[in-house]
Amino acid sequence: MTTVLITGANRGIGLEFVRQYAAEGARVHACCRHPDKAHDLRRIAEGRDVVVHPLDVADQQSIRDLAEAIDDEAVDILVNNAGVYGNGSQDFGKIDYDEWERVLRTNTIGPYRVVEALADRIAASEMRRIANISSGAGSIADNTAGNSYVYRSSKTALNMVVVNLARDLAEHDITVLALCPGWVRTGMGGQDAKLTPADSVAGLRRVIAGADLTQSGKFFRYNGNPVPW
Amino acid sequence: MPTALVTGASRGIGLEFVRQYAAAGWTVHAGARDPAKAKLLKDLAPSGDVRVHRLDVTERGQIAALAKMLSGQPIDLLINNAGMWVGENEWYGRVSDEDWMAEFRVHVFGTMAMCEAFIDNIAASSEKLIVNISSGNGSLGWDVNVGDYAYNTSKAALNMITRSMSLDLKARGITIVAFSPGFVATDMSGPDADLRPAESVGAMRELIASLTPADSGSFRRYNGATIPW
Repeated sequence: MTTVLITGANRGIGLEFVRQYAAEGARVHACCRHPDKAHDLRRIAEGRDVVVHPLDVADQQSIRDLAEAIDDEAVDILVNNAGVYGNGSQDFGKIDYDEWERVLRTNTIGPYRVVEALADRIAASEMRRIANISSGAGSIADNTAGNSYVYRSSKTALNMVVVNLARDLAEHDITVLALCPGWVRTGMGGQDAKLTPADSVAGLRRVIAGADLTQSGKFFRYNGNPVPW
Repeated sequence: MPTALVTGASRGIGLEFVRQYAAAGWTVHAGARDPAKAKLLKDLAPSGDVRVHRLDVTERGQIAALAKMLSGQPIDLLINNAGMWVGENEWYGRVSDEDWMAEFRVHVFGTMAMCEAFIDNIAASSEKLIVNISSGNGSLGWDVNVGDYAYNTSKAALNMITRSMSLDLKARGITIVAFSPGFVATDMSGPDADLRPAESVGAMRELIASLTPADSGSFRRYNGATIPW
């Protein structure tokens, strides 16, 4: 049986990951900041092998508590999905630096800390995959619109975390991916987005399932196409 | 003669930029965290038009004070050089949140805040140039990373904000680039580095003199070669 751990599992892409992995019979550890408020997640969890955990990826103690709760259970797939866009202005001349710190702690350092805390459980599993939900907005090469300094830089930095983790975890045969979910109709993506969470996540799951060590440290779109750095 | 503003000017590459531009007859504003201790920088002052300022790029109040002092004066070239690295304390399993955020504050927020504060001075100059001292270690696609999480991610993020600024500042005629100075023998790199500061900075000055608006948003080695993102 496959065991999957998903962060930011209460809504959007994270919630859809829980839905799809649980539906195919996987055991799912679904993590979010406020389980008591995660009504959609609790509905999906009913009757499935889904365990809901509190987790704030910007809080190291919260990550340690999660690792303790997982105990020595093997985790086949870690989906580092928790992320924020950042509040306030991201325009040149009006940058909110406190908010930038908060976004980096959640989008960049948080995913690294979750890996650090769970790497031995992932190494002990069959599949040994770490999927990091990045964004096309983190691609420097594809940046033709400018702006969005806070969000873009946090995702570029996350991509660099992926490159480094791929190298540092290769000795444990762990495959580490950066993934772009596309422009998805979620709280972050908005209602004009063309892609449904269901289609995006179905694609992302295919990419994760098909990945091997030769793809570790690389950046893929939900449809499997490579994204330039 | 043109005017330059250099951060992190007390030693290494920053000090060498001050030395060479001053020798070429430029007016150089040199920022150092502790001017009283910046002996090498003070020794340079009599050899040209070098003006030493107290400037810690993580202190927005100091940036604002300098911007106020230089208000209305054109700055042809801003060199965001101030940087840091904490060595093996950045490796997998060792890197602390404090060190990681400290590097984001210097490399990313410091650069951004300098650009925001001095943009009118730069736009009012004839050259209109901003050079961000990045690193080959900030390249996602170049296989030179050595697992320094804080350094690599903050330099990759610096490259991303350089790219965004190149687009956002185009209308004001500003050219902004990211440079890798090479592996230079400084206090940061140690004596094993293969390049002397004078050679690296000499080559970068030639490159700076050759920049056109078409180069804006590019990532270049000191010798002019383009580095993959």
